[in-house]
Amino acid sequence: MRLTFKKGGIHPAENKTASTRIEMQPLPMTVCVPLSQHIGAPAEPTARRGDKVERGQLIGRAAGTVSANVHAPISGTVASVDNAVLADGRPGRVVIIKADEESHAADTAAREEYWKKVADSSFGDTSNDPHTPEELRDMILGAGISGMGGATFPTHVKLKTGAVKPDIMIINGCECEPYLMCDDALMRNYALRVVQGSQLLARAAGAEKTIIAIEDNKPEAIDAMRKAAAAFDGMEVVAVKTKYPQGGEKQLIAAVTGRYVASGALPISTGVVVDNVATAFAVWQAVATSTPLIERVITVTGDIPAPERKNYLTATGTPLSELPFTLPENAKAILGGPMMGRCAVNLDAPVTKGTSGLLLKSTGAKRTVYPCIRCGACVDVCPMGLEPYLLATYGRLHRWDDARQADVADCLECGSCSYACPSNRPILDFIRIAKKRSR
Amino acid sequence: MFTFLLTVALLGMLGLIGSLILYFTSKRFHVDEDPRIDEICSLLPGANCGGCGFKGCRDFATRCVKQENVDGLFCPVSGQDGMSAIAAVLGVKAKAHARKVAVLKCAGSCQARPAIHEYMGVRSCAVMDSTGVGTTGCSFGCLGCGDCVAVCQFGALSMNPETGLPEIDSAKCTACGACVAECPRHLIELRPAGKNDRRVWVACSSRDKGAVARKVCSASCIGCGKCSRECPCGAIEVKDNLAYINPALCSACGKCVEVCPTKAIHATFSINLNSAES
Amino acid sequence: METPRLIFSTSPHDHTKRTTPGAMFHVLVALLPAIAVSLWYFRLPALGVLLVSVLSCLAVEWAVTRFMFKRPSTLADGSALLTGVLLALNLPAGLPLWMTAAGAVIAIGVAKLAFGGLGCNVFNPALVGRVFLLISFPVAMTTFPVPLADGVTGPTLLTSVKLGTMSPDELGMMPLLSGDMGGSMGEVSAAALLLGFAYLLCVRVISWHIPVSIVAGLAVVDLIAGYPVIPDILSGGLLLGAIFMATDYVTSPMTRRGMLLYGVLIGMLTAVIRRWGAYPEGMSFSILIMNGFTPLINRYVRPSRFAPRRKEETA
Repeated sequence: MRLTFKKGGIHPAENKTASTRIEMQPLPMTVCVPLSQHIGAPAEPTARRGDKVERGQLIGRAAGTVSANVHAPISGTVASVDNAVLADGRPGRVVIIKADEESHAADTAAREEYWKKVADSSFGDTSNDPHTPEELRDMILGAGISGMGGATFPTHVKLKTGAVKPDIMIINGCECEPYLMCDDALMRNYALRVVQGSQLLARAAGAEKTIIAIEDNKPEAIDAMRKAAAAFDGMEVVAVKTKYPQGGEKQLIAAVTGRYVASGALPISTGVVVDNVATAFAVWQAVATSTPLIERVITVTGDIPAPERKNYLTATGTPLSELPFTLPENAKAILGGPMMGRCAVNLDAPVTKGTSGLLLKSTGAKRTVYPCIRCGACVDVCPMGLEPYLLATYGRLHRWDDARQADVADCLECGSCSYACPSNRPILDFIRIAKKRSR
Repeated sequence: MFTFLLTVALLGMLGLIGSLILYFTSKRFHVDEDPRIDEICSLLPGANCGGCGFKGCRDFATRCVKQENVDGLFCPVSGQDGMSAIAAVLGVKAKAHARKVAVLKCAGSCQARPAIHEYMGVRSCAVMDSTGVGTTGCSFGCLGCGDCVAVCQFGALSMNPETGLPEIDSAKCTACGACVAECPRHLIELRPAGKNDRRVWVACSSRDKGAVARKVCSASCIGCGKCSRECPCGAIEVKDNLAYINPALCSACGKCVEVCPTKAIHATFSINLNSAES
Repeated sequence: METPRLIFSTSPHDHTKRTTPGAMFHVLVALLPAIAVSLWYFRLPALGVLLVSVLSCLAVEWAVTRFMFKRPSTLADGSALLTGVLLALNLPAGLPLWMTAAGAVIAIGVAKLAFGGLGCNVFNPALVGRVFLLISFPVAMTTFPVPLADGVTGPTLLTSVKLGTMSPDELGMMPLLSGDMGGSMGEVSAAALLLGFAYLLCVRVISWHIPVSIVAGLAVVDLIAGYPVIPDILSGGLLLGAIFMATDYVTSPMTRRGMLLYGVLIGMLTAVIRRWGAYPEGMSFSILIMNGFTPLINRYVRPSRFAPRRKEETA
């Protein structure tokens, strides 16, 4: 029996064709760092125009309970703290830092030195880390770590558990989105660091058991992680079935532990905390090397020449257009995977903590939309057991009360329904509206 | 013959039993209701638009009767005359209520604000808004899919294919507020119709900085504050790079309309330039 | 301009290759064996009924959408074509062509377009057309040509059984499978229909739930009534109905459990009509009856949720 969740799910074409090497994307001369790279309140800027900042220096302080710190990805001078157009075309508050030749060279040298150390397995052993869970959480808060799977929920908030004490920490290495390979690459190249980070996360959450879940279409990553995790107590690497949305928080908890998060409840109610492998890696960086989250691995892939499909270690704040790729015809630039990723309309916008990939798709002709033929495909694939066709109708007809009654709030917006609809109906679009307006 | 008679008798019996059931049901479940509710209902438009703040026309009528007067109640569709008639049913007088109409706080026509991205998907403002900026560079302005037109029950809104913006027919507008609630970018405001139908408003909602706003849309408010300085009534306030005219203070003189460098302030009357210069 | 115009849309950005016309196409392919068998046995009259049925369905669909709805043509979705083929397969081969055309008008015009077109109809259009013809022209609709014999007509097995002139086992298995017996064009050969069923399961256009539960429902009543099960399944319109008519997406329930309930009830109703009703055949009626219950089934047989709603915490 392959581990998976009970019902629903789809099998989109995987298209995981990028190279699994991690290339170093050169540091940019100018970065534009959004103060809101996480869910919750934007960070309060601590740097002002004209300030000299060092790489890794705090430039935005978490404002409020649900918020995260923001750090300078390069050394240089703060050119401005202002509004700028972000990837989706909307304005957001950013800190713009300009480097000079000298600081750029110094940063590049320091960065190379740093990653050499990371690759050296004798360095940075955290298995006997002396910090208490509270101290670890403070370090995670200090490093500005937020969920790097795409949801960007501040990690320290997730770890601060209330009445329910978690007993299992799940590290999510599913990467169920097609095309994306950044987590795969990270696990293959830095397995030990991910495992060390996972252990730290489990300690910070107070969980005894750590389970690293990886979809079984990544055998190399599973092998590498098993090898790395062998030396750790209470750490297990499990292969889960390749099925979208296997990496959904509730779906993964169900697959791995058999516990089902009740409608309207938080995952912690089942005693499980889930964090992404890239988050675990960032936690290790924060604890072992005191490095805040200023770089991440992102996948550049899609309808671009095969040699260009690569994973890049990229500093946050790097403009997307600096990544090397040839823009295809009728291009759609998607931040994240094809199922839940959001379209970017401004390629001068920066890479952020939550950018797991830049997917460049060449869009074909518009698909004809046919009437709903009530085939039930959407009902079959919905991983939450909802009736998407019905929710979409409620959304279209403004029947918010009915939508609420039909548990529209449970929808995780995975897009399986819209994917599976043979009539090409925009099911999820209307469910989103119903979800928003029935609150 | 017998079959015939039997059929008639049977059908007759069935009819009788049916009518008895209906009679007793209506007696048993009869609800006493103030006849004035029905009377007021017949005076209301029956569109159940919700513009009065109640669930529908009947709900509104029930409230009127319960309250025994019409203070604080207003049916925007029936208007002042309609409310007087309703008040007459209750034997009271309706207080004067300022008529309101919807205005569009965006002037980003296809010419002023060209499309720079291409949208592929359902033609719905709410859906397009969920993706981000829309087809133009302005993340505050009209998306042009006509969600507001679709919800208007009175035919007061229509899309102008030339500008790509909805147009409001103020004569038909009843200020029910359906479009206000529908616009995902909150671009429609209900403003007092004003004396002699004279009203002035800022036809822009962009809170981008002046230079940025100007770059994406030539008709945007750039927050320069000229109007505010010019206004003799102190009705205009500039906040977040956007001017707002307080309708309670505005005298509809039109001075701001003249000085606005981007023509972002709209008025329902033409400005007599000569009189303004003298 | 620095960057070329980018296209944007809502997620998901990937889409299944399945399409609604594709599903219609697969059903047509699955019907090919049955069509071939009927053309082989009934020759020219069968071809005539098939062509007239298909052409009239397409013509009605085109004319109504063009002149009454004033909407773009919906012929490309393939549903009218499929209805035409299914209607023809539900008719006896020798039916006068004008009756066939009348059936098509009722099927597309009344049962489908009057309800709003594809996806909006409550009842299976082809079956409404067939039942309309059966009630209006009972003689013509029950005059079945004998296979491969020009101008000779004879009763179907079920009619003979109803009249008491034949026992259900008398015909033997071979004619039931090959179709060498009287009956509607598409229903005679069980083997051809089962081949189509296998194809539909392979391409995953339908699931097994409805056909299997129909057969099960019928078998249960047959066993209780002491009637031989196998001939009852293979004769008459049961397989044609169970595989191609009852599984119509629009008029069948959405959930698996709903499909099972729907199928079992169709099977039982059919057996009841065949055993104790006035008609020798009851498939069309029972499918139409259950079509009427489909909205109710959709309302009450809901998919099971991911997890139950959290119990309200009581202080």
